[in-house]
Amino acid sequence: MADSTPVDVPAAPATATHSVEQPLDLVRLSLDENVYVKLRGDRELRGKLHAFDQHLNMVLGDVEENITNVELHPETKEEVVTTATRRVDMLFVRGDGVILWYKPIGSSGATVV
Amino acid sequence: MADSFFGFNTTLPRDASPAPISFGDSDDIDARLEGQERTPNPDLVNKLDEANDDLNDETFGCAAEDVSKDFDFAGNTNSHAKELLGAAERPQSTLSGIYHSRGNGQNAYDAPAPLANFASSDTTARLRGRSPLTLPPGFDQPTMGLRATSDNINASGAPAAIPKKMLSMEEVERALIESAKSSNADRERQRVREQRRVERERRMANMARYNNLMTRADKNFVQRVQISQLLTDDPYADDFYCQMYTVVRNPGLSMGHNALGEMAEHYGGRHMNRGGMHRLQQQIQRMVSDAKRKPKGPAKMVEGALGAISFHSVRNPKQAISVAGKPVSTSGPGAGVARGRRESQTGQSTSMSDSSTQGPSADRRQTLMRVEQAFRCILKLEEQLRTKKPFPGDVNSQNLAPAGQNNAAPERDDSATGPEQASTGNFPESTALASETESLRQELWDTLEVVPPVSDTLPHPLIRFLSVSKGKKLIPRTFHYLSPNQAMDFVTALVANFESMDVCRGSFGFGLGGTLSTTQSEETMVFLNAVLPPVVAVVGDAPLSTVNALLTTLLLRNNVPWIARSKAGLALLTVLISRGEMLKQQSLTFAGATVTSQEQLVEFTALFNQLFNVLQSHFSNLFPPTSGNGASPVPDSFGPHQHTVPNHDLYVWQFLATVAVGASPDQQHILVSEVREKVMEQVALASNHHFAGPKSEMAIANVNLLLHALGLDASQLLSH
Amino acid sequence: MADVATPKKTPTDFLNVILGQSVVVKLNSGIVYKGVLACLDGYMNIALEQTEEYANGQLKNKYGDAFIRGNNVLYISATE
Repeated sequence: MADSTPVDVPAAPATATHSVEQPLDLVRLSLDENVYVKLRGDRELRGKLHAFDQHLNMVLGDVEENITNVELHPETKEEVVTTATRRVDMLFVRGDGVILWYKPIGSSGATVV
Repeated sequence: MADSFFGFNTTLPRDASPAPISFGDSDDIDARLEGQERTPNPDLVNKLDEANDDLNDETFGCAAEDVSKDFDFAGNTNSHAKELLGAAERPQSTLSGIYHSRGNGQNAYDAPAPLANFASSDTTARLRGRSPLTLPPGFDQPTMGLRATSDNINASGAPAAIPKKMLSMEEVERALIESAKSSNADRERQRVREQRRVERERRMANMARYNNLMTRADKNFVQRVQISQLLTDDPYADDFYCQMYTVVRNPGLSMGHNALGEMAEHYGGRHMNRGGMHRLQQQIQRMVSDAKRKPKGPAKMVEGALGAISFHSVRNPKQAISVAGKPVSTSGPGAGVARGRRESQTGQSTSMSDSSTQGPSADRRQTLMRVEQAFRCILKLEEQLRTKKPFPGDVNSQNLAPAGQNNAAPERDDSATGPEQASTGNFPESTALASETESLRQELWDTLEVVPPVSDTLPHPLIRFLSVSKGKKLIPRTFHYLSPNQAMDFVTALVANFESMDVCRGSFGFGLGGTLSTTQSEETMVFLNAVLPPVVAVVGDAPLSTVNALLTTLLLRNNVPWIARSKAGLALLTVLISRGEMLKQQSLTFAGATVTSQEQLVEFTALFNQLFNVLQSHFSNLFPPTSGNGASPVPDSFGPHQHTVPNHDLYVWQFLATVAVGASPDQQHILVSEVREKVMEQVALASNHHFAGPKSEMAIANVNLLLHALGLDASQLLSH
Repeated sequence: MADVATPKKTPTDFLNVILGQSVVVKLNSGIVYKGVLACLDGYMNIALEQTEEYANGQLKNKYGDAFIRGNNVLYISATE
């Protein structure tokens, strides 16, 4: 179906969204900005939001992916946390893996003079 | 719909029990049989071969004698073909499969055979059930299928009798009917009825064996396959079952188009007439379209303690709760928290006082919303340009190329669309379009919040708009829809508030760490590529009075050294000064012929001097750090470092050259003394081969930008 | 969809009331977010401001704006 493919949101004129605030409108505001995305499986992405759709399918550019792995040490029973990082130039993120999406405090850096 | 939708008996003849499953057209066939039964041909009866009839009781469940011997139009009939022909002498074209196959073993598998296999398999089964009665010589076993029969025929090599002429079923019937007009039918009819009743019961019992063999889902599946055939244009040719059946039954036989056509005729005419088929097709199509439409309806809703909860499907994704469409605007308990983030369209930003949106993040969000709003306006305006070709006349479109032709365009359109389109028909449309365009432009302009150029809130709304990267990127497209006055207002507001621009903040970095952060340099690049060109276009057409006004504003409202330390700020200064210088040169060259008045020239000179004084003692600081510092080598491989960026300080040399051109001799002296060290450093580095070839040339070229403006050349320095 | 006019209190009414207030959002995974409810939609997608992330009762993170995808939401509750 058409709505399963992410559309370039800026190119799709929204229907009077500026009068009604929807959570996805806030995502729209972050187009072309850096965002952080928490995914299932202890994965976290940081990248520039190029496009998204109502499922929160996203296209991210210049992405850094952090994968956190927590294991119990077989003998000491202590939690061993390992993180792996990789970079991807362009990434399509399927929306159903998304848990949380955020902009870190002070990331904008353009509001203070 | 019945299990066997087409009336095909899908049981192979060899599998068929003596009492095969009934199907749609069996009555039809029965009627024929009845007709035959009622009309025994005495001659034929007398000549029946009664041998091997011992098992008739078992086969038919009634006295063998009762079974009408006139059923024998199978094998043994061959020997009496001549009599039949005599009774119905008639040329014939079509052949009934069964009769034909018995009569002419090999030819039985000509084109009509598949038809017979399907259409008359009921008859086939009956006949086969009786075949033990009437086996011709050479058949020692009861054969349970046509194929086996034909094999035997082939094996025996010489069938008992091959009729020279072949009869169709109709002809046989007619012959039988004619010959039996006078027979005593009543007794026969009773017997036949009894026999048919028994037969039916057997059939039912037989069918019961298969009860529950298929699940509901299986049946649905088969049904779907069958129904799907009805949606094709040629259901027979596309019928998988038919094709497979024919192939399986007749390996090696080419499926001629003829066979299919005949089958189609057969079923279309007998089993289901054309109208019925058509109705059925319509019905199916309606079902299909209904099924398609159905999921679009509202999902199941349950009203309960938790309110309306809806179930979701694939097409109807889960909407867990029903939230009022406009939570912001609903009055009532939530009114206190309702936020009007868009109320600042009038230009007065009141949102800062709004309780729940205070703080930098809320401010930034509001800015982002404005950018999105501007985006929407521009997208709509651009869409209008693309889709509605005759762009209507527009009072504000002086800066648009097609503006001059606009008024004529709608009229031409009218004449082209023909007489039915009255001349008034198109005009309101275009005026509506024009007003829509105008309102969009106004909205876009309001969103930029350019006016007033001096704002109570800091930073200025326009600067906030431009603080976002995508806001900067939007400016070239925005300028398409600004009137010249608006464009000038834009430049004025930008110049008046330039020190608040994010691109100026990078100058901090020069003093501290020496390099710009990547975001800073990115934003600077975006500014230089997106915002500056439209500004240059405006300033490039401006008269000196405007340049003076801009310079006045710049000097009055900004910390100029601060601005000048950034690449973007220095670029802006260069643009303003060079335009002023150019106009000054023009007025000197073509004195009297220009609009530039002497007072304006004087004013410009005064402003230039003011600017020079402000920048004095800062000239050497304009250079980005580490530019020529060969003493502190940095790893060449690392990107962001200024050292390796090619020609990274060109803009400074350009600015210095521009200043040098307009400077008085005293000012030139000051300038040279301030940057002398830098110049010498560059020249020395170039001549010391510290830089590679092209880099060396670049360094000299940069220095020469300034030196040429002063009437000097780097070679003079080298020679010393 | 929902008729707000009915005197009966519905989740919608509740959600309208808590808009702009401090809320606690618990996810299916057990992680809790506290913040100011900026807005939400019928899919329970939630936008929070001044968000704090708690795992096992410990503060793990602070975000400015956060968007929570609705399918992960266990509940929303008002605080104070």
